[in-house]
Amino acid sequence: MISIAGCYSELNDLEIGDLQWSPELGLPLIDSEFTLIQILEASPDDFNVSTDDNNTVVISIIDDSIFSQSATDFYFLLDQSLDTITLTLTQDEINDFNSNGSVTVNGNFQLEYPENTGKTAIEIYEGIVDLEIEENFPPGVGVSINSLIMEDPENNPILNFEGDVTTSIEQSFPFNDIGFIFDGALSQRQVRISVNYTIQRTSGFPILVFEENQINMFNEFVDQEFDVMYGDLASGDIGTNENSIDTDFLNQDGALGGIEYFLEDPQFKIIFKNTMGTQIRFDMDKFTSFKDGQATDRPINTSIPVEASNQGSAASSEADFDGIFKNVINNLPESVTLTIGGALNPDNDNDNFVTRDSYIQAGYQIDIPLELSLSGLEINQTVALDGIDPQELQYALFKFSSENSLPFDLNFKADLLDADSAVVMNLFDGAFLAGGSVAQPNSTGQIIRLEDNPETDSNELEDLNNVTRVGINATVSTSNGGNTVERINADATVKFNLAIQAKYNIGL
Amino acid sequence: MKYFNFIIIVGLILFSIEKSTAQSDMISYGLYKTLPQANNLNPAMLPDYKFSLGLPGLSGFHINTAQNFTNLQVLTTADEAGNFNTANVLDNLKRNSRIGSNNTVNVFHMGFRGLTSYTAFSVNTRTIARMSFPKEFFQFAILGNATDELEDGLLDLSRFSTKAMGYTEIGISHGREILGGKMTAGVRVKYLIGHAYADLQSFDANLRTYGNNEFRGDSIEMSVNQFDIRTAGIAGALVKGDFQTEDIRSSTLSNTGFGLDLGATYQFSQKIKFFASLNDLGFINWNEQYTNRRTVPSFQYQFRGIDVVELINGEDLSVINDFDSVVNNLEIEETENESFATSLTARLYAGASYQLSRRQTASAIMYSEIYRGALIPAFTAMYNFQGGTFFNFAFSATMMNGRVNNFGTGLTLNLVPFQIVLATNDLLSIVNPIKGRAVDFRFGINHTFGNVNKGKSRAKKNSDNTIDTIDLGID
Repeated sequence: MISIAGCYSELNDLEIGDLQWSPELGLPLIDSEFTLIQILEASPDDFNVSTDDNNTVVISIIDDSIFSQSATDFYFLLDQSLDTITLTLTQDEINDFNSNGSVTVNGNFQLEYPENTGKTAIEIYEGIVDLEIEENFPPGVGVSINSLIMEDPENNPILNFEGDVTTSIEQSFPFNDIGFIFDGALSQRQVRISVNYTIQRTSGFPILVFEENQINMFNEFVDQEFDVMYGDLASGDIGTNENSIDTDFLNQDGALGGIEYFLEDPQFKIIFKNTMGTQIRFDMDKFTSFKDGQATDRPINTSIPVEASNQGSAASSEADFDGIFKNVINNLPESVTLTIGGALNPDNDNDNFVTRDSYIQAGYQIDIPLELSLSGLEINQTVALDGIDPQELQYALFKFSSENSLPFDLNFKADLLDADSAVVMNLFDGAFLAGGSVAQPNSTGQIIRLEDNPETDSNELEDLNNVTRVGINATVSTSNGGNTVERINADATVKFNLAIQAKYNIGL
Repeated sequence: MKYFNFIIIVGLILFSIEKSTAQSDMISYGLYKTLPQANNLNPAMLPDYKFSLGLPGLSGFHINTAQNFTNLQVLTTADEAGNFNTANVLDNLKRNSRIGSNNTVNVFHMGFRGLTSYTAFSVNTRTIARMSFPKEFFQFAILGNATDELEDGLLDLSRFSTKAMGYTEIGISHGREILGGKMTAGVRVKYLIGHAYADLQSFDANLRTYGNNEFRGDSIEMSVNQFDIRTAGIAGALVKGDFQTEDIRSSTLSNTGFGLDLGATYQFSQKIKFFASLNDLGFINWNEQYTNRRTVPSFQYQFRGIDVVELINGEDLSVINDFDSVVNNLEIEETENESFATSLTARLYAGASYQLSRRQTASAIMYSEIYRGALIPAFTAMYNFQGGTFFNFAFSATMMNGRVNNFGTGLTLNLVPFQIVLATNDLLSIVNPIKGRAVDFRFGINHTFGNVNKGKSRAKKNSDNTIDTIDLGID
């Protein structure tokens, strides 16, 4: 019993120590496998990625419109004045007025729409008629226009007016969608006018005398916009300024370092488009490349005709300038411009047309099969390491492994950085991954151990106290230091794995 | 020499068998001549009382809860730095760590002893719970997934299992002497009423961290094979969220089944007797009202790290999408109102006793329990002193719960007209709770009347004056 009592008394002294343990945790962090196409497609740059018949990666830059001009930039309608209409009363009409105090008269007129520039027909989308009416009847005589109607040959309305006229009036009338044909019957190019007006005594007892009083009507077509013009359109020059060509696609913002490359087979294609019914001739003048403040011209001096289009369709023409462009691009220019000139209706044909919406346009397409030599490509990336408390770490193992079937040599460097981006510790430098191929990829692996060794004063983990980021630097080049031209297969990948094993102290 | 051989055999058995958490009731086996409830363990063992009665509230109870992997001493031992000694805790873990609980409330008991037979009627309410989990589970939690202790980085949870059941058994037993008294045989037929059931069936899952001795953490793979979670009775009602008292009451009284206990003894010689019993053969059919089965389908997920290309591009991370997909596509099939049957956990007692003197007996008893196809054994060496029906005392040493120094003791004391029972199968946990791994205690009050041995003694004397069995004090 004494023994039992002793055992139970021990229960009062029992204490459970602080709960602290040190698990070893293994965790994969990064598992990436990517093709170059995936990387390029993910980039915000404005280019397309595809493959050619050899499954080579091809970068394409397409700009449909380095310049574009509308037909209205070249062609327009001049203001036109119609003949003056003079309205006079006959003797019978005067007698009627003098005896009754008023007389109403009707009149119809056809005035030719003037055209002397060789056009065979026009359709006017919109315009304005400036109408001016003058009268010289004596005081006490009022003139009222009961109806003044103006129409085109197809009876499309141009203006409709009614009102009193005192000495003179001026008024503008907008119109839409009228047309005239100049190579047909006279009536097809005439403006039709019908008028009904009343002369009446308004005060006193004025007496009219034959041929002493009249009404004059003036009409002018102004501010006209054509919808279609047919016939003999004028010749003219096309002058474009220097047009920028996007050639800095590999390093638009300089983030990839001082990249150098040689492209084996870059391709440049110019594409012209014409929706006007007149032939165009484009004159490819020159490429101008700019590097280190120096401009270098590379003349092209090639004319490219583009046929007149049918109405409602477009004609196009294109030409390749691969050879000269290869020289331009492989000079590693900072920028490139293209100068283009040309002429409208260069053969002075007289059977043309233009519509209000027709235009001419020039675009280009650059195709770059990735068969190249490359050096100086440098990628820098930082990853935040917030939340790591190295004081509770006993050791940490970082395992890095990679497999490369791209024909690029990769050199990796990783530094632990503090908040001021100062290097606290170099994790690894010169981890080299030679270029491989789809059939024979190259692989590499490395394990880095950081340890708080209680048997020595060495505590590599203390260095992690101020670390906030890990900076990763990768330099990329084709073999032989970037001097060998390599072809990049679309199926080539880079695999990259990073995992951590650490022993961590946990206390509750 | 016979003593010596007997001790050698018992010793070899005790030290050659793996440790266990068997929920045996050895000490009651040793008190069978004066403890009416011991007849529940072996219906062929006939108590000495002519009549015994256990009433509700007095008849007693037996609680047993044990585990095989720790104790207060282990939990309170500090390491050199004064911290909780996790290494010590891990060292004490078994390959399969187990927690089990067997509790019985003896609601009612009534037994009649004839000259050569014993017939009893009893009502007991029992709860049984088992949980088994592998050592790697704690190693994973404490040492981490990259520890060398996990063989090849594998956390194998396939050995994890759990089962719990509560039921009431209404039994009638009959045992009698045969072969001219050299042998007794008995049987108990039990009508079972199931109250609650829950288990985790066919659980098979693992978590593997890939790597090698130099580095571990290349990838982590979780694999779970299809498994079922079953509930019935009150547990099923709780899962369904149905708490209508009347419904639950009617349901828990309508889960029925049958059970069988078989027993036999054989008087090999004047001093040596063999005995065996097979308990809890049977089943309970859980009615459909509150059954619930949730089948979790197989699924796998492997984590190899995040894709930096996706990270740089600001895309959704495919590893998270994949995991969401696995979880969202996990179609857990729920089957309700479909009855099923569960078997009882069968138990086997077998042993031999040696009559040391008229009042003293030494016994060796083997106990085994079949749980999830595994044999869970325990072995006991027991000393018994019986002073008629007035006093009975037993002391045992059992290899159970992973220890060979697992002592038990118990006594019955007849204070006419009632009898007090006190017993434990784990004396160490009571006298030295710091090292105890179990709580085991029996207490009860029975009303007992008469002593069949007095009648036998007179009958024998009146017939031929032989004293073959009279002085042994046993049948």
